[in-house]
Amino acid sequence: MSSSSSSQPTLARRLWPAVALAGASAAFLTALDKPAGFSVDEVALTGAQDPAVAVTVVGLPTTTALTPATTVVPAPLSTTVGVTVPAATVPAANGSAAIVPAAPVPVATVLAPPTTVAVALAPVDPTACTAAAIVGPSVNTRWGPVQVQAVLRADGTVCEVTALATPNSHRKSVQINDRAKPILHDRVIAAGGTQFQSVSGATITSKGYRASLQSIIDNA
Amino acid sequence: MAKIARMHASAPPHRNSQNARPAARPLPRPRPSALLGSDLWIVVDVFIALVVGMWARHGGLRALSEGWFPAWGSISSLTGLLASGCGLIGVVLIARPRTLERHVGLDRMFVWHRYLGESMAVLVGVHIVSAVIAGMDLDTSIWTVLRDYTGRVPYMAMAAIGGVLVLIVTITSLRSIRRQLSYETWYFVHLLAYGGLAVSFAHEITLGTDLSDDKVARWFWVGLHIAVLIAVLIGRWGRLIRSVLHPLRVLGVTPLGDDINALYLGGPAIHRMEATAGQFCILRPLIRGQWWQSHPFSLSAAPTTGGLRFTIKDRGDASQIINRLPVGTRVAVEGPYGVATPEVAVDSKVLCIVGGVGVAPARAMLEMLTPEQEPIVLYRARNRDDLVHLDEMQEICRHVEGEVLTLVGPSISLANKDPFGAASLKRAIPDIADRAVFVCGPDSLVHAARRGLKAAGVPAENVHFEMVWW
Repeated sequence: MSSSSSSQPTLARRLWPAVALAGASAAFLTALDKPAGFSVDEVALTGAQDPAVAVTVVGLPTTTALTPATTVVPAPLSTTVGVTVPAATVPAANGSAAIVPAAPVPVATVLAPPTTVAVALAPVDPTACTAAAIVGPSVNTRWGPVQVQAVLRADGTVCEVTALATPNSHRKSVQINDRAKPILHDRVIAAGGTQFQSVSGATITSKGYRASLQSIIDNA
Repeated sequence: MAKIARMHASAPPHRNSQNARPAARPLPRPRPSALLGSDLWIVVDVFIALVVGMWARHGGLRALSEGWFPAWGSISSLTGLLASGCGLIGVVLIARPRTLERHVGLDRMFVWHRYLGESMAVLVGVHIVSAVIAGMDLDTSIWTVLRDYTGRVPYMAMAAIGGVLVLIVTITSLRSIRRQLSYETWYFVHLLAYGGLAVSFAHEITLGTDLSDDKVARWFWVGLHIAVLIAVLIGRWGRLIRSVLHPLRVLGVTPLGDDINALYLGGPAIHRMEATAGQFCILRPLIRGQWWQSHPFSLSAAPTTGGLRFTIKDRGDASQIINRLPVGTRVAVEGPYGVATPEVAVDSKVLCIVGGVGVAPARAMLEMLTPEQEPIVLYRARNRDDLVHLDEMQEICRHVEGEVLTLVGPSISLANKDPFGAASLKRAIPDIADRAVFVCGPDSLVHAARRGLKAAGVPAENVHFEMVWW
């Protein structure tokens, strides 16, 4: 049979166009796939797990032994950690002193010394919105960084949220985000967490917003 | 094996000339489909409703009225989701689910697959264009958007490659280009569509708001893809492997005319099969140089445990090799498929309009008809030598009180230039409107016959034919 099939087309002849196309696709894929610096997801993931951006929340017991956060990890190069804890919002329960940074502390950056942050929360009414605001990580999106700070109730739901940074490198971005910020705020409050709907026309900001907020919730 | 082949060569095994063979029982008939005509549309409608509902619920509908860019973004989401939906249903058809095949026939499924593929290509086109327009929201430069969407946004390089693969598969499937390619070249390129769907998947999850924000929708989507993947692995590739593991063997090849041969297949694996007259199988000779090619052929005798008979016209390519297969050669058999079987014409009188080697299924079906069905075969051929199986059919017709009418000669020489016109058909077969009609033959014959039958008052649902898909 093989002798008479010599005039017949071979598998190789039939297969090569498909193989060539598949190879070209793979080559183009590796050449094109350059998402560096534009990742929402990567930052969202690392933000949630990276101890360097973790905001340690220490519940305040009756004793004054406030455990300082002992995370000792150099901040990664690209991560900016800003921690803002308005002193006024920190309750002094049972007369114990909460040791908190009182002013915005932009802890940054290149081979920073170990970052330790302690935020005090009072064991109070679970629906009260009196806890300290926690600052989330800055999330890099395609259009720029998004960073939020939030106040959590004792049950872990979000009762207040503020956008500290939204993309502003384009005039158009500013326009979009000025519109989106109040909507996002209301939606977050209504949802009490990250299960809110993105604002159409501002999906990227919504995503960064969610990622930053999620990180706060995960670390609370 | 050689002995069996000789015996077949002298006495092809069909019902009316059984002799020395131990009783060959008819193969069990394929179970009828549990589907109703409406089931299919319910499933498809529910699926579309779910997809569009998902889009609307996630703000797609609202975004349409929120200005230029959100509207384009919303269109992009919807067309993207629908394109995926078309792709998924198209792949389900390729998995050849049994109930569906028994209901509509493999030929219709392939035709739908084609429509779905075309729809998907158009939707992907709109999806890409609208996504690019929506992306120009912040950055007026189209080049920036294109650069973002081909690599700088995560997973978008994969999606872009997926789009290109879909484009290539679509172009190679355009009829004018498809004709230039050999079936296998086209087929192997066509397989890249799987790759296109796979690499595009990630961006569906991470981009847009439909799936990235909604856990339920996301799991619905992922689950759907996994289910379809399993279906195609089992239905397509599992079945292919099974056919190779349990091949039939060539019992013999008998010449029927100048370039027409009968191929007999049998062996122990035949007891695994269900089949009936009027169906076709996809054959894959397991020999060097042929194992990667498969070809559809109609059964030309009612299938029995004694063997399957196929009537194969020598078209000079692979059929030439199949017509020379040595006895004992293993042949992987997929199928049988097809719903133009005697079951659809129970209790009805039958007319078969056949041309050339298209006689095969009619010849097989004739065996399974009853005198009450008063079968008539209208047999068209270019010359008298092409009238294969004529003697067999005339013999069977004596048993079932049927009739074979022949129409021989090049079209140009026929006295009646339109032998399948309504007037000629009615004159030849006065009760034609009451008959179930099977049409099988070259494209031109099928077209002419369908046109004539329609004009002669045969309802479309009583006309049965295989659509051309290979």
